[in-house]
Amino acid sequence: MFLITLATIQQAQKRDSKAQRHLFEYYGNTLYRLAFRYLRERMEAEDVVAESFCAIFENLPKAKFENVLFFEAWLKRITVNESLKALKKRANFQLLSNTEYEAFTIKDEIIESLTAEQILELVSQLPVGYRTVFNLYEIEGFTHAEIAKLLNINEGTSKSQLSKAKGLLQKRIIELDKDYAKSKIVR
Amino acid sequence: MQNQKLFDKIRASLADEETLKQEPLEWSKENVWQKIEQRQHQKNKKLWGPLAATAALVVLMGGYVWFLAVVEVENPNKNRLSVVGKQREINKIVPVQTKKKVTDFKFHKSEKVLDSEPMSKDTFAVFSLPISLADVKNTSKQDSVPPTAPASEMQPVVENKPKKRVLVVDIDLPDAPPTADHLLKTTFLQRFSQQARRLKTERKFDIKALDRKPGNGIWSFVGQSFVIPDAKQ
Repeated sequence: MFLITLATIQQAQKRDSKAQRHLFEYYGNTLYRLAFRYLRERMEAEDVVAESFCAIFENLPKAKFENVLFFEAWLKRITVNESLKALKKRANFQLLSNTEYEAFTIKDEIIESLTAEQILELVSQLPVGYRTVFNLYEIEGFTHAEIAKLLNINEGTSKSQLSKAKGLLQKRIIELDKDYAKSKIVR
Repeated sequence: MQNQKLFDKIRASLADEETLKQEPLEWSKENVWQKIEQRQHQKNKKLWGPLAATAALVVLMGGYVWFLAVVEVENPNKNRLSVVGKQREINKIVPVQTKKKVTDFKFHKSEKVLDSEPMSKDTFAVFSLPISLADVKNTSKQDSVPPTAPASEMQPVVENKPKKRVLVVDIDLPDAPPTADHLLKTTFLQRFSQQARRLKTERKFDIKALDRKPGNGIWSFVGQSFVIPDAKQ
């Protein structure tokens, strides 16, 4: 597998189709996974990837990158934005929920026993609003102010969505293994 | 913070590329690439629209500017003709050794002016057919200036007084330039066609009048055949 260097990026900036194809081959899977994490719909995620790459190739000549890491962060940011756009288009996209979740303290042993697949599954099963805020805050590292701006909500709403998402996650972790949880969880 | 360790682990798991690579990936990469190519192609096509519109605008503006320039040129008819007269230095073609240049040539439309001011400066009048040396010799005795005549009245260049012949040029000058009202009433196309017609007529006249080739046009006639009285002094 070829590596992406600044030279490749510079070639793509000159609208070189070969370099653009290289970028797509290299980052396509990553960006698809990122889009899928928000959307949980294959077709929608594919559309978002296509839109993202179009936006990337269009804006690439204007952008400047010191290194490849900055470029990768930029790609992800564009894909997140496109994913949020797609989410907002959905008729059933709702952020607000009145459900309150009890706060649990989960023991370290349970946390350590969780596998990566289980975590991915748990996060993907969160309701769309919770999942979006959780992804944006915990994974992408956005602040609540930025999330509020991106989703056109208040900062308070963003915070409450995150806390509810965490509460639901904890609940689901406990439900994963009730017997195990019963014996280990301390309320 | 409550369960911080749990969320740290979640964050680490979701950010880890190796973990993510275990996720099943069932997406049609080729289809997505085709979509990207299609969209890029469409965007390129869209770019041609404004470019074509801009080009058309530039062409139209150029045409309009040209049209205005032609109107401007046509407006001062007399000036234009006098300029032509100035450009042509008559003393070079007149077979008389004099430094005075005749620069005030103007064409007159009718003979009336000529009648009232037979030798005024703005009369396009040329004199005499080509005078060969033999002619000069023959006519010198008959037409020579009497010695008693004042020096100012003398015609020192040619000994004999040349046979006078007046050429009255009746020139069909182009129509008067369009007025503002006329411009408002007519459409651009009408004005354009009128302008083109006027220009064609004018060009014909120019060629006819200013052709220097022997036997062609008025200038040739003047240059080769006539002596201008003003130039003699």
